[in-house]
Amino acid sequence: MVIRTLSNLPGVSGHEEPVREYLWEESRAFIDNHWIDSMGNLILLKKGTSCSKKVMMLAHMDEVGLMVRHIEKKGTIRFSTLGGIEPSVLAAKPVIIHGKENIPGVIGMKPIHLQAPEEIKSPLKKDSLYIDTGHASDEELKRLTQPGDPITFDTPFAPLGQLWKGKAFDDRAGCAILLETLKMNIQPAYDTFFVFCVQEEVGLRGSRIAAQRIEPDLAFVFEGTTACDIPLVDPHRWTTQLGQGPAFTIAHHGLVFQASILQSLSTLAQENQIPFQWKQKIAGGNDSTPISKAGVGCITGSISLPVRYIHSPASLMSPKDYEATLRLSELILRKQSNFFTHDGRLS
Amino acid sequence: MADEKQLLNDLCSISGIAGREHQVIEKISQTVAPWTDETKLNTLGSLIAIKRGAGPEHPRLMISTHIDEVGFAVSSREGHGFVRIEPRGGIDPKVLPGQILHIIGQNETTPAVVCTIPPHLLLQEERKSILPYEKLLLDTGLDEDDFKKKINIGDPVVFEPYFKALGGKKIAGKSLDNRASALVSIKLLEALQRTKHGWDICCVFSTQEEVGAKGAETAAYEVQPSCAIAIDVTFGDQPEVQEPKAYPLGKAIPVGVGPNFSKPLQKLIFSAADEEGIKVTHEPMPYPAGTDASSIQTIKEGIPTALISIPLRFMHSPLEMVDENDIRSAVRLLQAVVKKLDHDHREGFSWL
Repeated sequence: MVIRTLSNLPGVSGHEEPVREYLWEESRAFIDNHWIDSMGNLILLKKGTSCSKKVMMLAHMDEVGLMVRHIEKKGTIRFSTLGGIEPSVLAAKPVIIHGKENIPGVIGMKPIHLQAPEEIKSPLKKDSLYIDTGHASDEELKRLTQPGDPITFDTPFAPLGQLWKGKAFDDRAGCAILLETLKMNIQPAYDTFFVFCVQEEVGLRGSRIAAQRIEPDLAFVFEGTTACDIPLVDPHRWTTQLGQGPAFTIAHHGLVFQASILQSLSTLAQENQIPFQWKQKIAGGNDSTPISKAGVGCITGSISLPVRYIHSPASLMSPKDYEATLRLSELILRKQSNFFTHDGRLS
Repeated sequence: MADEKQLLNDLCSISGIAGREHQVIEKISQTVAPWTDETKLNTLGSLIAIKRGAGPEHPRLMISTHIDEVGFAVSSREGHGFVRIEPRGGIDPKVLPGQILHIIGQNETTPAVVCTIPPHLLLQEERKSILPYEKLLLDTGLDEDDFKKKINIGDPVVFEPYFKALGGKKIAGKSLDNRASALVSIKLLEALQRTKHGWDICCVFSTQEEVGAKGAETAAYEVQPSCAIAIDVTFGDQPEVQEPKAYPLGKAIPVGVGPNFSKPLQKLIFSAADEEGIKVTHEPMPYPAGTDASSIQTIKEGIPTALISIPLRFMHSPLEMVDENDIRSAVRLLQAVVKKLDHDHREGFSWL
């Protein structure tokens, strides 16, 4: 199962190699050309019947995680977060430090019995957390790891109720959809670049140079996005809901999506009985911002899989949404001309 | 240590919140059966495992280790696959967001995630406060039909099992408080196969410690030992908790000193350690600390009681941590104590 493998692979921002290698091995038989650029983006070309237009389909390979910052004398590892992670989700979680070898560790915190009354009531601060690997001094540890080494959550993929549980669904869900779409071996109408990009979580940096290299006419970003459809939160803040199909973003912090692309996407879904939802609220941003500004600019759509507990050690997504998004992704590739008018302009 | 680690892994992976410990008791009962003369269940579910001595007097040493773990129970079913829980034992709600918990149903276990709000949507006031139990939610991902079938009010809820050997002879896992100590008792019973002893050794695997040491209290009444030693975990040193509030892992076994403990028994433990070259250290406790020793001391006309401890980091979290060496040292210490009791107190323990 592609999503299981991709979710379990480690690849925080700047350390996407294991994800890239897997995607490359799986896709190499299905493509016409490929590039790995200076930052590590994997760009795969599927030639179209016509090369008059360029279409880009993109997902980011990196996941949020941690990074070794300092190894203390007594063996305690202090860390930085890579990507937006609330300290409140970090306490007492197992992690894996990817040093010279994989080092298991746990994120430690003070036992409740020893906390002062004000500590009991206050949220955890990031600086009070650390990783304990069991090593009693820095000597052995410094042979195994060093500052800068990436750290991932130790959360194996597994079914949970009718859903899937795992780390890194943002955005291995998108990677899985694009890999499966690519492996359908469909010849599209136009040259299509499948891009698996780096460093989304630290400032949308990989997609920018990929888009500047390709200068696509039309681009689609496939993302795992926030779903907050839980009784803890009022419905108006849910943004998306699990099981309702892929979500089309109307606007996020970096971009207001063009009405024409939203129209084309929703029509395509409706005509093919694919459930979809509108992302309700501005929450976060994604690679569509730099892509839409590449070259003279590019029409961009954002297709998101709803993910609960995103940016935490264990997130949940719905297999139903995955299936619906995969069908939509296939249709986008098969029916690229739907997005262009007869004279070749974008509709 | 490979077999011991596997046994500890098995012990820790079984769920047993206070009052629902039967599966843990069953596992221990099977394990110690070949090494004991008698095993019986006490009314409150504790296991009493007796290895009889060879002496004429049969004075009894009771060794008590609680085997319940901190956890929760389902307090309400919210529909759409969501559940609310209440704690059984003192668990910091701050360790819960994002954890995987297991709901132990009649027939099957249902995993669930503790809900969090993603940073993208978190309001400033939410960032500044913690989620109390009244607001915490579990997400089972189950559809309505399955949810109604599988989840019931009162179902025990535990942390997802995790067990890993880490660097520096450390072990991290769930419910090492107090299954690590239970392993000490089990290993003692095994070791006693190879030595002759005069005293009866009664290992009690007690229930309901995390809600007030009830199992040990009733078991001590039944066993009526000449003296008793409880084994429990104590705070291990970690970056924000150092000596004297906490004890280094793998260095010395803390022995409780204070009004909860019998001075002659304490003294006997310290000299036994000294004679066998086992490192021990004083653990001052001004008040009874809620361990089994607190309950045992005042049973009937009183029982001379002592406490030895295994230092443990991250107490009452899903990932506690102990040092293998401490488990081994504690077994050796108890062997030394048994030897000394035989030698110095053949007819029973005198507190005068």
